[in-house]
Amino acid sequence: MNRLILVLFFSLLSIKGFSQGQLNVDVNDLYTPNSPGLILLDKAPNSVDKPTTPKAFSLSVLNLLNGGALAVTPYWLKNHPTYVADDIYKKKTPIWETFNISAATYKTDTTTSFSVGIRSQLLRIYSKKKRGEASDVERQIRNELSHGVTINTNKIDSLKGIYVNVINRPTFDIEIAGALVGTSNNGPFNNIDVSLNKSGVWLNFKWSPSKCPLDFVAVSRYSWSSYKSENTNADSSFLDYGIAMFYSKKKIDLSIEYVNRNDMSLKKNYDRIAGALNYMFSDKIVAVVSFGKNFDNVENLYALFGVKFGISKQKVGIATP
Amino acid sequence: MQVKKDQLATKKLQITQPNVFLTITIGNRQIGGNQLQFDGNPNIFAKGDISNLNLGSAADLGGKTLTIITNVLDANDSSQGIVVTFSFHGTNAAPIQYTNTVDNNGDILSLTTKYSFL
Repeated sequence: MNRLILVLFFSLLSIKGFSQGQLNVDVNDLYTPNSPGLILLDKAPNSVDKPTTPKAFSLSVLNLLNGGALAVTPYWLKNHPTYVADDIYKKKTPIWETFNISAATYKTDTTTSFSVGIRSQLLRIYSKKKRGEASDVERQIRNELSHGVTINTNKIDSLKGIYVNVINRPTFDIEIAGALVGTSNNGPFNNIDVSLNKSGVWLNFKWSPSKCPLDFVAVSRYSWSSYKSENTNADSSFLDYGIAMFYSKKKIDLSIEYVNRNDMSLKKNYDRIAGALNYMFSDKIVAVVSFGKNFDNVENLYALFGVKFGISKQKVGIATP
Repeated sequence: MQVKKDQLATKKLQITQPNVFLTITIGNRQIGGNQLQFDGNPNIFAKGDISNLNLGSAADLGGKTLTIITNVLDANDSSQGIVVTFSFHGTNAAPIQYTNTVDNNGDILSLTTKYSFL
């Protein structure tokens, strides 16, 4: 009965009024991309080479020159015999271990578009509790791997999933990324004209306290494009920054974000605040409430509030770290 | 998840100290486990993480063959390289390094090695 009342309550509030048209950026856009060199290029590559050996890397570079995509972490191209699993908690500044290069080229008859990007973790700290959780799963995996030729792959696969979830959620995490996109003509080598079209720099800070299921994320991005602004005839450039909070517990997911966009060519500022709440009645029924407010300092100041309700298997969120 | 198997030929180790100790190091931030068994003995001698394990005295070990099954899970998304180092302290052997790769992230490499003590 209580559930029915909740459903009716949400239904009555299902007024669609939230618009994001004034500010086409949310926290999702500001997360450091996995492959920054590929994200700025408008053409999505058919496949991305991810070489893990020097030989495979050489082949990938050759493919890249003929139009392809590549993402590589150079540190792991060679073996590190003394880098054991536990070292992930000890290395607090894993800059080189996580330094990733991504690049892509796209050829037409007359031009070649190219992009290159880098990404790295500047700081990664695990709390004592998280180290304990990860070590415990690691011990269970090691035990499963210690039965000689009898290997329970299903159990190990399941434990690996838990292990990856724990180590991918450090207590403190600072990531940086940068990328640029350019174009060159396909003329003779001594007559190549190269121009830069776009660039971007991302910086993320994430705090995931171990004692509560909350994640706090601070994000920023500077982006530049050679696309001229109509009013100033200057190159477009934006400085975006925002904060987001995520709460997740058995039946409830809550996410709230605030984003500010500074249009540096037009000297304008935009703000956005948005949130989403999911309540899981059962595995198949999820109630969803989202709300938001955009305002623009130059246009009429307005605030929109809306709540929408949906029943589906899928949850919604404003962003995913 | 696939299991790639590999087996190496028996290595002969000359004992030089009163006791022999073994350390097995799984590198590249991968996770591994071991099972040790002396040939002709149905009991498992040791399993799990092997660090400075006393294999026995020179008198006990002489003439015996040790089989080690090392299973390594590729738990490092940035590398598919497997590197295992076997260090027998108290023998004439320098640390023995084994390298290989798995085909896909998350695969397992199952390595069998044998050591004959002289």
